[in-house]
Parts: sequence; C-alpha cells; structure tokens
Amino acid sequence: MNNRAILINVLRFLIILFLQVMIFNHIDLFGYINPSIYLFFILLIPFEAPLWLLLLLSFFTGFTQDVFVHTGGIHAAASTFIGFMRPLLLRTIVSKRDYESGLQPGVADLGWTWFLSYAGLSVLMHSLFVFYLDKFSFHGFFVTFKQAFFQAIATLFFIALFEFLMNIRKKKN
Amino acid sequence: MRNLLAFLKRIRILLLFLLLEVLALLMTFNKSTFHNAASYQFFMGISNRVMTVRSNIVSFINLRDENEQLAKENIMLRSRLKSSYIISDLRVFEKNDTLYRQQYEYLTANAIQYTTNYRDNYITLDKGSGQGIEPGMGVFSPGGVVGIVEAASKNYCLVKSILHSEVNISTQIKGKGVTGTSLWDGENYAFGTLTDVPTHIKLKKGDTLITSSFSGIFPAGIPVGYIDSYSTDATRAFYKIKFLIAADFSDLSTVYIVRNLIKDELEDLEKLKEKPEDE
Repeated sequence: MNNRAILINVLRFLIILFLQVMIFNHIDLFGYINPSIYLFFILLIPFEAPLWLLLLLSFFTGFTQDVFVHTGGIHAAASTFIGFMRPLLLRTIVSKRDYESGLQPGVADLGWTWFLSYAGLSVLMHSLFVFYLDKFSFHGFFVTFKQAFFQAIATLFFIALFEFLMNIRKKKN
Repeated sequence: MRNLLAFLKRIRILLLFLLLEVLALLMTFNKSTFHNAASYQFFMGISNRVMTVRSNIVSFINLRDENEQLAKENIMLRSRLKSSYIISDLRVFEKNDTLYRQQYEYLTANAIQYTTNYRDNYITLDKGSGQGIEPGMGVFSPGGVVGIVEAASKNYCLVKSILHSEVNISTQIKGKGVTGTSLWDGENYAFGTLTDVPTHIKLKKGDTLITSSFSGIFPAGIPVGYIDSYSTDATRAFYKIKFLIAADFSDLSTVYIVRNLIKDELEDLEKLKEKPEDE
C-alpha cells in the first residue's frame, strides 16, 4: 500500500466514524434500528491489505463503535468476524473479473451485483452476530432474527447509497 | 519443534482471529469492571468530547421543547410552595427545624450520549467526580427515573440506564403501599416489568408507580412508570405488571443526579449488621 492509499483510508475511516457516531447511532428507527455504516470502511479495505492488518483494522473499527455506545466488545467481535470471513466470501462470490491487484472492492471495478452480494452477506452476518451476542440467548429467537434482518437491510441501504454517491463523484472527475 | 512452528505460522491468521475474538468477548462480559479501568477511561474521554459537541448542537436545536418541559416542571413545583397555600387555620404551630435534616441533594446534568437498542444500555452525563459524582448515585429526568451511576471520570459519568439487565428499582404503587421490583426485559424501551406485587392488591390500568423509600438511592415518590397491563406470574401469588416507563427515552437531555447525604451513615449501619456476633 502506498501513502496515498493509506491517507485515503484514514480519511475514509474518520468520515464514516463521524457520520456513525453523530447521526446513525441516534436514528432508533422502530426503537432498535441504528444502521452500522462503519462496516462500509471494513468492506472497502483494499484487497492487497494483508490478512492480519485486515483483522486488526476490523477489530479496531468495531471497538471504536463499542466505546461510543458502551457495548463492551460486541461490535469488535462482530467486525473481526466479518474481517475473518472476507477471504472466504471473496472466493465464494463470483465476479465478472478476477481479483487482480489494483482492483478496488467497489461498484466501479466489479459491478453492482458483486457489490450487493458481498456487502449484503457481510452486513447480514454482522447484524446477526451483534443481535444474538447482545441478547445472549435464543429466547425469542425469531424476534431477534427479525430485528437483525431489518437492521441489516437498513445498513445495506445506506452503504449502497454511499457507494452510489461516491461513484457519481468519480464519474464527474 | 520446527514442524510445530511451521504449523503455527500456517494458522497464524486463525490464531490472531481467535485472540481478538476472545478479547472482544471478555470486554463484552466484563463490561462493568472494564468501564472503570483506566485504559478504557482514555478512549471514553475522546468519545465524550466528541459527543459533547453533538449534544451542544442538538440541545440548541431542542431549546424550545426543553424550555417548555422545564417550565412545566417549574409550575408543578411552584404549586407546592408554601406561598401558594393560604393559611386555613389560625392556630400556628412552630416547627422545630432541627427535626428535619436534608437527606437528598440534586445536581443537574445533560445526557450527551445514550442508547436504547441494546440489552444493556448506558447514558453518558456531563458531570463527573470533579463535581462530586460517585458510583451508585441515582439519576432521574423531569419525567421519571432514568438510571444509576456506574463509573465517573473527572468531568463525565457513565450511567447504567433502567434499560439494563443489572438495574432493579425498588418500586411502589402509588396509594397502595406495596413494594415490588421493576426491571427491564430487553424488548421495547418504552415498557418495563414490575414483579413481586402480591395478587391480593387491586390494580387499575394507569396506576402510577413511584420509587419506594427503601432503596436510599432515590428519594421516595419519583415516577417510575404507569401500569399498562398485568397478569399473574407462574406461582399465581404475584402479579407480572407491564408498565409504561415514565422517563422519555426517545428524547433525553436534562437530568438530575441525586446525592444521598446520609448514605454513608446508612452504609455503616448496614455493615454493623453484617458483622458476626462474636466479634
């Protein structure tokens, strides 16, 4: 990774975290939906990043959210899980092009179908992990499942929206 | 040995993953200890500063509603003032003031960050140990009971909200004199559960639940909630009461922190009770 890539990722981290803690942690739609848009940062970590760095960054991103909402380590655990599952996801989801170096995980290089299945699966796994770890019981299994599912949809909606906005900007350039 | 090292090297990503997961789970299940740790206070200090900025913006936008709410409370309190009453009896008894000693003292604070969507929810307030806040103090809003202080840094404190699995409030049904325990089942932030109320008591939907005088954390008579529905529990000896939480968790800003001035004395007394007799 060159300096420019690092700078872009640091900036992206700060902006996404800012939006998360200032706006998205306070939405409380239906009383429980607060989209975890910080996942957008983890999803966009470049393919070239070594796996250990991916895991550490995922953990740290989740931990930051934990500090802001006082959940101990729930988000850190879920995000680390997403980071760990990413190589497996990438192998499972077929894309039009091979993951050659220089390719960015996003719509611009790999298309909407790829991005939505990649982001969708990650987001769904993440919110199931967060909701079941938070309740820490299978009591009311389906209620929790429903909540996690709606949370995932809301998160995916905003992540897709951001991806869309970022690509509009790119096209103009 | 070399094989082992080679093997460890091969599974190093898995090991790192497991290490991070174990760390995260430890932090999750030891939250209370963790929140008091010095290293955590560092991260919390940063988060608190950021959230203060947000709180300032939000409270500026909400000034109008906030003023209205406080004015309402003022009117209620004013109506209780001595000057609002006329003397209906000419025989005046002099009250000896030494009979009354102030037990509770109040501080105002602002909620700068809170959640309602987890099983264990916390609130951050902008008053800390520098202003005399200690763990164990009660917190309530103009609406009703909000929570209990868990940890305090110099300028901020972390409050376990009543939307937390470890918070039980000793609660009384107003006018009925019976006491039960209210807790939160983790489902909807608008509703709590009151247990331990015997079934021979007649209940009505809308009855007010208030704090009892037994806890020493809250003064008696602060609203906890309003009965929404009730049924008998498995033993059929007690009610299971669902109540509407009095504090408005959708819009929490100004709150009061309660300091019990004779708490130390009460605690010393409790300690005496715990001592074995032969000592």
